[in-house]
Amino acid sequence: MEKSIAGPLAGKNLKKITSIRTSWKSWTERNPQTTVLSTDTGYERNYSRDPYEGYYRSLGIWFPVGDVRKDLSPKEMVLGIEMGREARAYPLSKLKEEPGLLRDKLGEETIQIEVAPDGGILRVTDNHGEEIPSIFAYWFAWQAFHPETTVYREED
Amino acid sequence: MKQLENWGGNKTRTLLTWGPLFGALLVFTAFNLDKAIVPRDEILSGGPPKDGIPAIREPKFISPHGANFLSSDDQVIGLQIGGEAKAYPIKILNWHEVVNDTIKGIPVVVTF
Repeated sequence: MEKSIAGPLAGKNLKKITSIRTSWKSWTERNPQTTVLSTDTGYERNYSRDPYEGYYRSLGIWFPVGDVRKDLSPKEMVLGIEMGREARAYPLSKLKEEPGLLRDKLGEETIQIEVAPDGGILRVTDNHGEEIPSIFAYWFAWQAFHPETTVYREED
Repeated sequence: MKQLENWGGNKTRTLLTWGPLFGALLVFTAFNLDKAIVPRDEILSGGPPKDGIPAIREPKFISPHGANFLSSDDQVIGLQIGGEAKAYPIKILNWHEVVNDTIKGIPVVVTF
C-alpha cells in the first residue's frame, strides 16, 4: 500500500507511522496543544464543499480493482491493521456498537483498539502499549491491497 | 480509488467520456512510469491531469481557536511526533489528497 510502483523510486517503501482519524472535538480534547492545517493552502478551493458527496453512499467503485470479496459491502468503512503477516479489517459499524477497549489476537500479538463513546477510534496499541499504525479504508480498497485479510467478527 | 466527478467540471467529464485510451495517454505523457513494478495497463488515469489535484507542499498551521472552518464532528487525521500534535482536516485533504510536511525534522506524507 505504501510502495512506489513506478519511476525512480519504484519498489521502495515508505515507513508507516501511527495516526488517528477522529472527530475534531475528540482530537482537541485529547491534544489541546494541537495545531491544525490552515485553509490557506496556496490554492483556491471551496473547502466547505465536499467533492466526494454522493460517492460515500453509492455502491459504485470508479476504478477497477478486480473481484471484490463479498465478506462486506464494497463501501463499508473498515479500520485496517497489519501485524506480522496478518491483516485484519475491523468494520467501523461493529466497533461503534461497543465503545471502550476491544482486545483481539492478531499475528502473534494481542492488540487493543480504544473506541470513543461516539464511535471514533482513539488509539490502537500492541502488547506493550505502544501505538501501532492503522488505516481507515473502504472494504474494497483494503481487500485489494490485502487479499488474505480476515474480517473481525465478535465471535472470533 | 475515488470518484472524481466534481473536480474539473466539463473538462474532467470529457476525459471520462473518452475513456481509458485518452486516460492512458494522459498518464503516459505526464507521469514517469519507468521501472513500473505492476502491469502498465493497470495504471489508469484518475481523470484530472497531473497536479490537477495538487499536493500541499508548504502547509501552514494555525491554533484551534482560529479554525472556524471546522465543526466538532468534522473528521481529522491526527499525528503526534515527539510531543508535537498536528491535525489534518479531511475537508482539506479531500481537495489535495496529499500533504508533505516535516514534524520535528522528520519528513512525513499525510494521505488517506
